[in-house]
Amino acid sequence: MKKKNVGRFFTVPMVITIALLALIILSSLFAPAVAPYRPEALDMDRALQLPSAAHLLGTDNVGRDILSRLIFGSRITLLSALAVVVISVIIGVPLGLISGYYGGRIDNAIMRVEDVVLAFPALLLAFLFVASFGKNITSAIIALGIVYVPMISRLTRSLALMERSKAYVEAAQSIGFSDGRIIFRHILPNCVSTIMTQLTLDIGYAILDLAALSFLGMGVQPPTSDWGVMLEEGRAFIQRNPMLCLAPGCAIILTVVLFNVLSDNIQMYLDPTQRKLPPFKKLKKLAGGLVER
Amino acid sequence: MGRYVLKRFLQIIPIFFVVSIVIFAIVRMSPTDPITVILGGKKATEAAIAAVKVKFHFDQPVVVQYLLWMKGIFTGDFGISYKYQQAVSGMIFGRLPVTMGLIAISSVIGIVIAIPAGILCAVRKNTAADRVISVVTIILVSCPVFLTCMLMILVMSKISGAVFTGTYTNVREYFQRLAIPSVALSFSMIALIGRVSRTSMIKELKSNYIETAEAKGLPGRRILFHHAFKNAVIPVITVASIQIGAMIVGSVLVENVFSLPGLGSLLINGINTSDYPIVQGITLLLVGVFLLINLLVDILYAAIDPRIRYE
Amino acid sequence: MNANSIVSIEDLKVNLLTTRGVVCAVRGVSFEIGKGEIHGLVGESGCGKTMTAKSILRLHDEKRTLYGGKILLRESGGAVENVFDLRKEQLQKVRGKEVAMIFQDPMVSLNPLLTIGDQIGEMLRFHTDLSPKEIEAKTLELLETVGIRPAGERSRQYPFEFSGGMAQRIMIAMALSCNPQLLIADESTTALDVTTQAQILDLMKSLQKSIGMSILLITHNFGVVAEICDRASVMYAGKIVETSTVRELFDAPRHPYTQSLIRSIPKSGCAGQRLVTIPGAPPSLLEPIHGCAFAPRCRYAAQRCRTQEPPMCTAGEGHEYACYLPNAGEEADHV
Repeated sequence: MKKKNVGRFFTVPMVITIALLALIILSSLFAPAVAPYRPEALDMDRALQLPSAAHLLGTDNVGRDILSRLIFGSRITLLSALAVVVISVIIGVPLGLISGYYGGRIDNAIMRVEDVVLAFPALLLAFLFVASFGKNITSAIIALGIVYVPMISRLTRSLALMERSKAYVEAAQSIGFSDGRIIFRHILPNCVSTIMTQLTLDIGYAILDLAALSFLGMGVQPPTSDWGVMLEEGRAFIQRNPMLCLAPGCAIILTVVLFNVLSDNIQMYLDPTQRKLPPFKKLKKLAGGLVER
Repeated sequence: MGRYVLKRFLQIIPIFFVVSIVIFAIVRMSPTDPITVILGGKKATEAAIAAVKVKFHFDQPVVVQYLLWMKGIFTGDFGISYKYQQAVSGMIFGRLPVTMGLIAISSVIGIVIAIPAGILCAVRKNTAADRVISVVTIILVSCPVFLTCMLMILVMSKISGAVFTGTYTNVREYFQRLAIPSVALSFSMIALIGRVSRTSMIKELKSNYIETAEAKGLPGRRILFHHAFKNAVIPVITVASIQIGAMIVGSVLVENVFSLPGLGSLLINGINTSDYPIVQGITLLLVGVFLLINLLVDILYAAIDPRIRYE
Repeated sequence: MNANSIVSIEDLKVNLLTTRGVVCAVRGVSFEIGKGEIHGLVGESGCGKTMTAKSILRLHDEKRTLYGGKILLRESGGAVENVFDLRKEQLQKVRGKEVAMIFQDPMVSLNPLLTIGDQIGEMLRFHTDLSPKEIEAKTLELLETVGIRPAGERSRQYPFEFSGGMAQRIMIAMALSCNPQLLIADESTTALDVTTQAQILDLMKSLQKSIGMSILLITHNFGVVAEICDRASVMYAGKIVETSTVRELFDAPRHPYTQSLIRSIPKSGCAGQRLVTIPGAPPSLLEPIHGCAFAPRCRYAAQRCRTQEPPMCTAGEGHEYACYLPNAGEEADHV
């Protein structure tokens, strides 16, 4: 009865997006096998080379292969972005569910606490955190995770609020199910798809924010390197070999764009009214003029 | 309206104080010993350490230290820098024009370009122009601001050999110096606001009151700007206010890359040298600015939407 | 086109282009509305009545719609124009000035951010040469006419400060501001409670008499038709199955669909009886329809009904129907 007109999940843009993301994730998983060189192998004789057959993306100021560093760097970038999102979900989703389901004072208290986090513009709280607890990737991840909590919690809250007023929740309450059971077994599954859409987007944002922290020397510390650190290190040599910045920069842009597109496509799949219609000319051709029947 | 503004203002005051406590607490929880920082790691006599303790109020209980800090804030005294041994307020206010100018100019650039672009895309939905703009915005949203800055420096130096240094003793030099960094900072604003205004406009153009306006025989321009835009602008304002928050942090990165003497570079410097009076002073100031911007946005909402005004 | 007619719709076809395919929402509709006539357009939801009405003003998204046929409109100057031939600027002059329209849900049909005075006033601003002073005076007069008082104070209020019935009165005031020849009321009382509904219908009828305009009333409610319409057309699956005066439609319906609809009106004094329903559902307008669209649900359908489309037949002055077996139901009923 309540079967939505969802349409196909695997549309052409979706397949391309997933394939490219899979490529990035797999290459980072199997980095030692995929990368042509060891990422830390120095070769001062071959410093600052432009792309060639031997070094597809060229070499950096101490002769390290940029492509290999990129592949190995992706491990930290992707893993820490995932960690940020996981932290924000573990804290944010239950908070949002409780807030939306109970309402009243509990809701108010949770909202006020989150107001404090939201009063900090974007990454500023993360800066403060890192400044105080040490400039390393762990504090950066925890700090960002906390910064993301209010966003995810407010989304969940609004979804829970909508679900709470529906008949099935009332039915579950009248049967005498416990609140915990209603929240996690009944309301949560109905919110999951929307939350997932947001999380996909958040992974992209986390990659950007972590890169910014690393770039400012507040995230990953050299000699370990992620894409943000590579950008920072390449900065001094950008005039002599732009690849040093272009390679990690494009890697960041591509990955974030892919997560953006993935999120958009999932949303379109869940909400068919957002689906794009083909242009009018194409439609008219498909229709072949006025149809009479 | 007046009552509404007052109500909103009274709501942000407790938030401001709680935030100040949070900032103070986080900084106090740091394992770094401030006295070592102040003395620059050098060995010092007992007497010197005692003098430092008195000067920076470390001889007082933590609560008193907080109260002294807050009292200072309201009299324009942000404390004394550990490293430079001079008043933080002087350092901050000297650098304020750069950061605020950066944020203000790029906000204006962002809004002036993004909203018309968004409306254009909404009206010409699914045409070539719309698709091109959509692709560009999604790339701009995904591009880290410091990368944009670096690429702009690279391109500018290749074209004109221009170097972004120099003093700014007069207004003209001030704007010359801030122009390129502001453009770089505005990119993500353009992209985000563009996307939101497009989506919001498309949604409003589908609504019933637009059909009424069409049935009334109003000219297209009137329907677009007087009817649809007024409704569509509300979510745009929301996103713009969040984005201004992101730009406050973005300015830190932009100042870093362009070596501009703004609050951001001072903040990073403070973080790197554990100069906590600077860190907590700048953080609190930026939070204050952000809260005021949010208040302004709330007033703007009320000015546009009567339902909020009469709440 | 009849000399007495304001609007003449001739073989109107509307195709909607959607992601699922081409929807033939209107499949050849013809009828005329005379001067001073209240014409009802009745049918189930999705039968194309709103589509037909909106076509008169070409309100569909023209990037997604294909039109066929003609809609002739006699303008107040006397000239007859085909709506589909009008340029954009000409169309803007027709909309609101010659033909006004009010919609189903008045609460969402008014712009929430503009005062109602503004929303009525801008009609006058774009369609007449009145000065701002005169516009204000006329706006207040219109509000008084539809029973919104005190007009001065209320004209400065916003839509959310009005109830549904009051909002519909504002819509009516807006529609009447330029003395249109035709008012299209699209389910405009459906969202209101019964008492308010009756008040709005009374208001429309009395205003129609004093101004002398015509009304095209779209509804799924036969009660409303009986109350105020002079003539009515019954639509099914994008076509008109029967048109006649309201009296004859109730007394001697010819088409089995009309008969079923009239029989399914709940009557008082029949407590405890089952309500009469029409089994089945209307056909999908995405797929081709063979023969009479109602045949699969018709009790009397013969082989011919399923393969060949019945033509329009005439039964007396101004009574038309599209059925091969116009009297089958009558006879069955009178047993």
